[in-house]
Amino acid sequence: MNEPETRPSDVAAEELEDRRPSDPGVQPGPTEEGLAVATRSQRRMIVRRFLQHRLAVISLVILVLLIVGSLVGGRLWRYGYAEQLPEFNQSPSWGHPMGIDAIGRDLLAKVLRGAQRSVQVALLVALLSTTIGTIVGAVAGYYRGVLDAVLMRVTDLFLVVPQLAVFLLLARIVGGGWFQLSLIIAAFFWMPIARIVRAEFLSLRETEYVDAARALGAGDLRIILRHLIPNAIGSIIVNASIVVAVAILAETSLSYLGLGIAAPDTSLGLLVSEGQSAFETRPYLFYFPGLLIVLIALTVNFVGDGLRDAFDPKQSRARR
Amino acid sequence: MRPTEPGSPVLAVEDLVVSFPTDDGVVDAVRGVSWELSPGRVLGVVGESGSGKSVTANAIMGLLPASATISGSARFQGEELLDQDDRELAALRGSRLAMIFQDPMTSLNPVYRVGWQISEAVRLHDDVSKADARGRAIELLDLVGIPDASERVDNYPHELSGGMRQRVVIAIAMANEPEVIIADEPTTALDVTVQAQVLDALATAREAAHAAMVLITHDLGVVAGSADDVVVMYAGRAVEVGSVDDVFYIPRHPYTLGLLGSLPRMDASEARRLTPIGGVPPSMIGLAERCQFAPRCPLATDICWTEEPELERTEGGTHRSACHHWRSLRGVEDPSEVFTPVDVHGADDGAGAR
Amino acid sequence: MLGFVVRRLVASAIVLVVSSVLIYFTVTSFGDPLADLRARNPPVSQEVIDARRAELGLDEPVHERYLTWLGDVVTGDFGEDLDGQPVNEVLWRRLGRTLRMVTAAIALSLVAAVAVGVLSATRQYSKTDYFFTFSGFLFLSMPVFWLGALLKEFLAVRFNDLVGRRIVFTTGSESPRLDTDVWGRMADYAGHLILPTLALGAVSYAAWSRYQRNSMLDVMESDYIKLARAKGASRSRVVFRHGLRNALIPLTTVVAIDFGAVFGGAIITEQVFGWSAMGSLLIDGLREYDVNIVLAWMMVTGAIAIAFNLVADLLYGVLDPRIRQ
Repeated sequence: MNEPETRPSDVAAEELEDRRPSDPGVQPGPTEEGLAVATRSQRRMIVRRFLQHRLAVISLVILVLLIVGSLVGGRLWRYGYAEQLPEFNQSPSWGHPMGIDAIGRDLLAKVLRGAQRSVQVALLVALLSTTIGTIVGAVAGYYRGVLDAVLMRVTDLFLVVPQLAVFLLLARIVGGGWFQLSLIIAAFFWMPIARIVRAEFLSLRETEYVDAARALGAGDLRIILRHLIPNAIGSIIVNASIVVAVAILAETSLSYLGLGIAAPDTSLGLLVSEGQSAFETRPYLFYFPGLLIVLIALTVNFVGDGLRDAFDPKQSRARR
Repeated sequence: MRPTEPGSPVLAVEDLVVSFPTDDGVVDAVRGVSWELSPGRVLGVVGESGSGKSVTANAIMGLLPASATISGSARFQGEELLDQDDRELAALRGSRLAMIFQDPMTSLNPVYRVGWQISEAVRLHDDVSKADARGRAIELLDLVGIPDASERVDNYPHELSGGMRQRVVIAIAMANEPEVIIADEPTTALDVTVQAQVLDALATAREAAHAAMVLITHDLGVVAGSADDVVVMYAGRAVEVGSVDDVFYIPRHPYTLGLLGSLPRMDASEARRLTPIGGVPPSMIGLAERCQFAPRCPLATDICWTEEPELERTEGGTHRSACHHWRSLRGVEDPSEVFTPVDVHGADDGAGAR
Repeated sequence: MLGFVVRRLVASAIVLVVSSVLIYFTVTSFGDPLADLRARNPPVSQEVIDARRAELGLDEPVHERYLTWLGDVVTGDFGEDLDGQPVNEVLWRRLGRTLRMVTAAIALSLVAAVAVGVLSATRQYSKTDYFFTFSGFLFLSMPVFWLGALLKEFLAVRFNDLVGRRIVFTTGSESPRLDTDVWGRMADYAGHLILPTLALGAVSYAAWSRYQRNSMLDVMESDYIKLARAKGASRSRVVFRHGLRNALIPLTTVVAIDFGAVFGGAIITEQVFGWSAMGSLLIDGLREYDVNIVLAWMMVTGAIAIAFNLVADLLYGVLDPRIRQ
C-alpha cells in the first residue's frame, strides 16, 4: 500500500469552477444543501472519466466475469474439486480443459474452488478493512485528540514488523480456514486505509467549505457524512481496490507457504505449490492456477488505476 | 505598429496563433496577435485570465508544451524565434531574453540555495568560476534590494518571504544583462505593499541592463505606473493597442473602458460607482465568427455578432482598436456612460444609469 | 539532529518492548511446544512429558519467563531454542544470508525504478511509456512464488544449458564447502543471488517505478522547472539536476515503508529457492511454537526495520532542506 494519494479536493475545485452562472442546470444557492449538490454531478463526471479508459473498462468486465465465475463456477462445472476420477496425470483436453492431477482430480474444478476461496477472502478483507479503516480514520482525523494519537501509535507499531511474519504467526495460532484468514489479513489492512482517510480528513476539515457548512448550521455527523466522506471517497475507493489486489497476493502467499488455506480445501496458492514440483513434466498444474492469480490481480490493478484517474484527473490534460 | 522611436523593435510579434488539444476539444488560446517592443520601452500586456497573454509570452520563449500548435512570427532583434530548436533557444534564454514568472512561492527550486540558482544562470552562459559567479550573485541580490545580500545568498527559498523570492527571480533574470525581460504577472501573487517593492526592483533591473520589458498583468494600476505602451488582450486577440496615455485617457474599445470602470480609484476627486462588465469571458473552444466581446458589450449591434473586427487605426499614429463602433467612444468621459454602475444601496437614485 | 535520533531510538525501543510483550504472551498462550510430544502414537508417558516441561522451563509463570528473556536480550543473549542450541548462533548466520538478498533486491529495484520512472515520465504516452507501465502492472500482479518458479525454469535451467555451465543457481544461498578465495566466494554468492533478487525485486521495482513516474510528472509541471528552462538550462540538466533531484525525495519515504514488505517477500522467495535463512527459521520456529526463536526473529527484524526507517528519515532531511529544523 504505497501508492500516491489522490486529491479529490482538486475534483471538487474543478467541479465548482465548471458551474458557471449561466448554466441553468445547477442552482448552487446559498444553502448547505447547495454545497452538497456538487457531489451528484461530480459522480457523473467521475463515471464518464472512468469510461474513457478502455483498458480499465475491459479489465472491469473481465474482473466481474472472473469474480462471478469463481463464486458460482464450481457449482456449475460437472466435476467437484474433491471428486476422485479414474484417470490421473492427464494433459488438458476437451473434457478436462485444465487436465487431471496426480491423484485423479480435475484441475479446472480445483482451480475454480481455489479461485472462489481467494476471491472470497479478497472481497471480505476489502470490505472489512475499508469499513473499519474509514470509520477509525474519519473519527481520528475529524476529532483528533486521544483517538488520533492512539491510532497513530498503534499503526506505527505494526508498520515495524514485516506483515507476512505476523500473518504467519496468527495463522499458525488461529488455523487456516478462509474466514479466519480474512480476519487476520483485514486486521492489518485497515491501518493504511485509516491513515489515508485520516490524512484526507485532516486537510478537508480545514477547507473553507466545511467552515461554510458549519456556519450554515450543519452538525458534526452531517458534515462528516454529507461533506467529508463524499470528498474522501475517491481515496477510499482507490485504496480499497489496492487492498483487493494485495489481499489476493497475501492469501495465496500464505497458502503457498502452507499456513493459509489448507487441505482438504484448496487455494490458488496451494495449487501452485503443489504444481511447482512437476513443472518440467506437467507444467499445466503450475501454470493454470498461477495465471489465474495474475489475471485477477492484474485486472484489479487496472481497474484501480482507472478509478484513480477518474477521481483525480490531474494527469488528463492535453493528450499527445 | 510604427515604432515610436527610431530604431527597429527588439521584439516583434506578428500574427501569432497558438492552439492546444485538450480532452474537451481544441483550445484557440491565441488567435492572431501582433505587437512590437521598442528598445528601452516597457510594453504592458493587459487582459483577464484566459485572454492569451501568458501563452503569448511562453510561445515567444519556446516554453509551451510539445502538443501546442504555433504559427506566425516572433522576431527577436530580427531573428525568428519560432523556427529555432530548443538548443538554440536555450542559448538565448536567460542570457539575452529573460522571463519572470508569476508565483514566487513556486518559481524557485526548493532544494538549492538561492545563490546557487543565481550562479547557475550566470554559469550557463558564461565561463566563469564558481567563486566569481557567487560574487555576481551577491551583487545582483544587492541590486534588487535584498538586505544582507552576502548572508542571504546562502539561504534556501523557503527561508525567504514572497517579495524577497520574487526579487531573487528578478536577479536571476537580469544576471546576464538581457536585452528583453518578459515579466509574466510579476506582482499578482503578492500583497499590495510588497508589489511596490517588487516593481521597484524590476525597474532597477531594467535600467541596469538597459533592457526593454514586456509587462504582462491584469492589474491596470501596475500598467499605468510602469508601462510606456499598452496592448489590451481579450479572447486571444489584441483589442486595443497604443501608448499608455492614449489607452488610459482616450480608450477606444468598450472592453478597455469597462476595465477602467471596474477599477476602484482612490485618487478620484468625487465619488463614483464601479461599473463592472457583466458576463464572463468566452470559452476558448470552438469560437464563433463574431466579435468575442459582443455578449458583454453595451454597444453591440448586428455587425458585431457576425463579423470579428480587425485592429484599425483610430486617431493618432499608433493608437489602434478592434471595434466596429470605436467612434462611438469619442467624447465618452466616464465608463458609467456606457456601462451600468453597480447599484450598491438597493434604491435607484437614477445617477449614471443608462 | 542528535536529539531527533535519540528521541527516535527511545520511542523505537518502547515499540519493540511492547511488541515483544504482545508476541511473547500470544505465542506462549496459544502455542504448545509439547504438542507433537503429546500427539505421539503410541502415547508417551506423563513422566516424559513432565520431564520435558521442566527442561524447557515451562513450569515457571509466563511473566517471569518473559522477564528472564528480556533481561537476557538486553545483554544480547536471545536464549536457547527448543533443542537447547543458542539462538544467536543460528540467527546471525541466517540473517546474513537474508540481508544479502534483501539488500541486493532493494538496490536493484531502486536503480531500475528510478531509471524507468524518469524514462517513462520524460516520454509520457510514448510506446516506451506504455511498455513500462504495462510490464510494471504485470510484475505488480505476479505473486513472487510464481515468478520465482518461472525464473528458475527460464533464466536458470535453460540459460545454464545454453552456456554449458552452472552459472545461475536455483537452490540455496551458497555452494556448500566451497574451497576458493574471496572473489570465488563472491561469484558464488552472486550466482546464487541472481534469481532470488530478481524475483524479490520485481514487485518493489514495479511499485516504485510507477510512483517515481508520477512523482517525476508532478515535479516536471512545477514552476521552478519552467524557470530553469527559461534560464537557458539544457533539457537534460533540467530533467536531472532540477527535476529528478526533487522527484527522488518522496521515494525515500516509500522505500522505507516498503522495507517490511520486501522482508516479507524474502520469506517466500527463500522458500522457493530453498535458502536456509530467516524465512525457514521463522516457519520452523512457528511450527514448533519455539517462542525464543520467534521472538528473536521479530525483535531483530523489527530493529532492522526501525534502523532502516531512521536512515530514510535522515536521508529525507538531507535531500529536502525544508524539513531541516
